[in-house]
Amino acid sequence: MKFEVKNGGFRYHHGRRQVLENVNLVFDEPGILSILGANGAGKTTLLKCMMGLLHWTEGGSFLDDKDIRTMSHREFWSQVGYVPQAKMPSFIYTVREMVVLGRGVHLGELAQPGKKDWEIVDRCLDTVGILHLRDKLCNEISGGEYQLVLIARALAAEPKLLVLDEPESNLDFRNQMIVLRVLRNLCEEQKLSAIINTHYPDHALDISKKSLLLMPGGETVFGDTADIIREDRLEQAFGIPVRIRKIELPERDYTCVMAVDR
Amino acid sequence: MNRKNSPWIIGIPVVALVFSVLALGMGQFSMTPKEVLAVLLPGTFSDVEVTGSMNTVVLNIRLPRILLALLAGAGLSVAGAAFQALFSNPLATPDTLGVATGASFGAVLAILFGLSAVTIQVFALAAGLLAVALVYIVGRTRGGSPMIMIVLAGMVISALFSALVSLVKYVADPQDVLPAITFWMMGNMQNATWETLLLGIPFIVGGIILVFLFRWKLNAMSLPEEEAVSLGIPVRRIRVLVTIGATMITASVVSMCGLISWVGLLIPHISRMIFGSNNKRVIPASIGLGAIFMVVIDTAARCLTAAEIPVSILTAVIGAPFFIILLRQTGGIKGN
Repeated sequence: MKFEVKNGGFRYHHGRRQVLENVNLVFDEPGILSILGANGAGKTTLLKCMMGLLHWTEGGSFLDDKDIRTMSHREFWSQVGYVPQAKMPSFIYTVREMVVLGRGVHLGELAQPGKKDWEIVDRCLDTVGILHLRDKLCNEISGGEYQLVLIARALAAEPKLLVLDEPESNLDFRNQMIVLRVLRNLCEEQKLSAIINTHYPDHALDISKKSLLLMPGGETVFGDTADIIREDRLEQAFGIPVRIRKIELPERDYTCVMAVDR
Repeated sequence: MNRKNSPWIIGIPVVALVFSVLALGMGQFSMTPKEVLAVLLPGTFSDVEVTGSMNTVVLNIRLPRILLALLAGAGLSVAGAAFQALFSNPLATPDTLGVATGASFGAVLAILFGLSAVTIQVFALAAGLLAVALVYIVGRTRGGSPMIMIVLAGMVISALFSALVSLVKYVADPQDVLPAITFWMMGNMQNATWETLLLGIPFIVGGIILVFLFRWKLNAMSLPEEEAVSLGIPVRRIRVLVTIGATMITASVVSMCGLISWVGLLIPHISRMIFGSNNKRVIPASIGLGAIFMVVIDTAARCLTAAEIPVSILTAVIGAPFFIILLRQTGGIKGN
């Protein structure tokens, strides 16, 4: 899998402001790419442009060297799984019914999911560790569990690349860890690639190989996480003083990112 | 999952059939179910003497009317369920896009001009389709047709046509034309003949089939648009096809029996309370339960009193308490 953005730029129809400018990234290995930036810097816009849900006004996205605008919906979405920000739908489906929707891309226009599809659904639920919840209604489970349901739904399409929009936002401490652990395991065991939007530089340092930081004014920097998540760059991106410290714990080493208020 | 639902799959059609046969025998000229069957299936009951008036009442008066009730109930319920999924809004009804209001304008205009029943139907059908076409033109923006624009456009066009209906009422002769318009607006099935049915059936049946084919995909369609797109389904095409199906149903039903409120909201929700939100089950359940509900309501409308009661009054009077009881018992949704 190789995912690439070349000279991506975006502005809204009526907007004077360039939201994104000259975005370049190449991501061609299993693992996680984190996207960071201040509120309003255009993180979600960037994700949507990358997937063609919004259209780049300049440049383009390429999947395995193929411009995604030349790909059919079916061709693209059978390789890329999108996990939106968790929001409860108006109609409440059961966990299995929700996850099987991920099979839609492989089914004919009028086809219904069959035995094989339900087996894949159960396997995906097992992968993210919530097989025991399969017959629950989506509003009977916790927010963290619902996020895992959405990840399982994306996995059900058997994609090569997962794109997640702030998967750990609105979750408590423990659930954040569970979601991140699931993501890391997926990338390690199934050799998947994942692109995530996150508000937490610590998480980016902890789980991602590559990072992309959105700067004020629509510019971006992309590279190995250690080169990107640096005090000077974060200070510039968020406009606050930042300290990064390593902490050695008996379990393993962690890196903490703190905003300091003078 | 299927095993648990199989009693329903057999039960609902059987109940619909039994109720229809019973309804054929009920009314001022009353018959036993055996007599009704003797008329429907000549030669099966040699001990029953079938008279000419029995034949006329069952075959020419009641049968078309009951078929219309079955189809109208099934159709409006399916159209309601389809729009609720498309707009991700549990409160959407078959009239959300202004179809029914548009169709009623066409009908009252034809009544005002004193045209025949079939012409009224054609006018209603055309005006209903015109209303939805207007909604799409108004709701179209540069980037496509966002759902919120379509729904708002539906409200605007609906308001416009309802003002036009008022205008027709205002100029109508209060001696005879105005009561006819008012009665038509309340909904009734007494004008059903084989002639009107033949014109209306293809639209209703075609629309139901169209929605039925996409029943599972409606689950994905009920999610936010970008999520539905990311599930790899042709969102725009399905939205247009399902809208066409639901519009054909609604325009055709309104053109034959006037405005019948409530069914399109009530039956899909009852189906969800019994079978869960999965449209794979909600759509067939709406077809069956809608048909049964409408036959019962229409039979009550013509048998309860000597004069006919408009159907819309009964759908609300019988439907609302029933709905409240179910809502309180289930809390609104059901799992597996």
